[in-house]
Amino acid sequence: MPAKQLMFVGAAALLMACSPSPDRRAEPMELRGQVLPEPLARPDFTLLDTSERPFDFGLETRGRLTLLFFGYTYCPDICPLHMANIAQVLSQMAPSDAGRVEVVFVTTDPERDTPQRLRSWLDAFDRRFVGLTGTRAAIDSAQLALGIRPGFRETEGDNYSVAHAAVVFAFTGDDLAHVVYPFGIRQADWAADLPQLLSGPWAGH
Amino acid sequence: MGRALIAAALLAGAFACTESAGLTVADAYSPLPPTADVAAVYLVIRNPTGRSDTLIEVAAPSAQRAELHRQVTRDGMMFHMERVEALPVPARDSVSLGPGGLHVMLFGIAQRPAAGDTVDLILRFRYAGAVPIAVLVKPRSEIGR
Repeated sequence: MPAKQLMFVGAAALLMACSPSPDRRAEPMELRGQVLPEPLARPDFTLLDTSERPFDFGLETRGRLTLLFFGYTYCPDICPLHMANIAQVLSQMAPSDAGRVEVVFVTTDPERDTPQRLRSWLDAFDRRFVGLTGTRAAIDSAQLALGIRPGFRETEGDNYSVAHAAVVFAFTGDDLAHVVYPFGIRQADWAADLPQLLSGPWAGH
Repeated sequence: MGRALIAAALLAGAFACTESAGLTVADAYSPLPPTADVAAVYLVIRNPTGRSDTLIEVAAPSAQRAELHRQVTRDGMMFHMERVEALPVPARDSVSLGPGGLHVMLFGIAQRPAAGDTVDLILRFRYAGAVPIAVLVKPRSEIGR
């Protein structure tokens, strides 16, 4: 191999090895989530967190990869599976990366999901997960802002169930949700997508 | 020796599945519930017989109530849960209960189980009668890999 070519290969290798953080912005992404035809803006709404303090979603999560889900703690099937999958994948990521992912769970059942109950339910998955509640009107308008039908109580009696959207929204650093994760998404899918969402073209600054 | 072998084989068979008149219930598990209030149970019902059967009742001695539910969605987005009163299990066919579809829902478990525990469940079929099973509580991390 001519010396000039060798030097070029060497320089390229050095460049790749020394690059402080791999910039994936130019690389095409291969996402397992469902890419939206039109991205959604990170919504602005204020609800109460599990310490019963106001939580301004737009402000508190701005610029951060945020997984937003609307569900309820008496949900037997879809909600705990989404939360468990996300928690498991975060626990296997480097702590420095996992720490850059916010998970926000908004109850669609504020009558039963007290802040205390939300906290203990979320703690079963990950103590860092944010739980939000509020008035039915405030919770409904947060969902309407994202174009989903608000969750609603659908049966009578004490052990009623709540119909709700089964989709997790992923807001990236650019404060848009380009991709959502419907029910059926698996841990392997999150593990493939989260690093791309943290550092890809939508990661923002 | 021959007899011991047969006994061992019978025992292994009894552990592998719970059989009643040819109909079997297998792979019963529950993701570790976050609270004792609700838990979902998933399983597979196999009906190798020539007669269609129907699951007509579910009961769990350790829970206040047990019901069969189905998640229904029209758009893949909004999910509704509806109670299923009777679940047909066609002849020479199987029916799977799994996440996002059918599940047995337990309300008010006496004590929140730990991963590795088993929860007793009784499925009652129109023809096969009562089929008692042990539901394995699995760590949630094992479910949606």
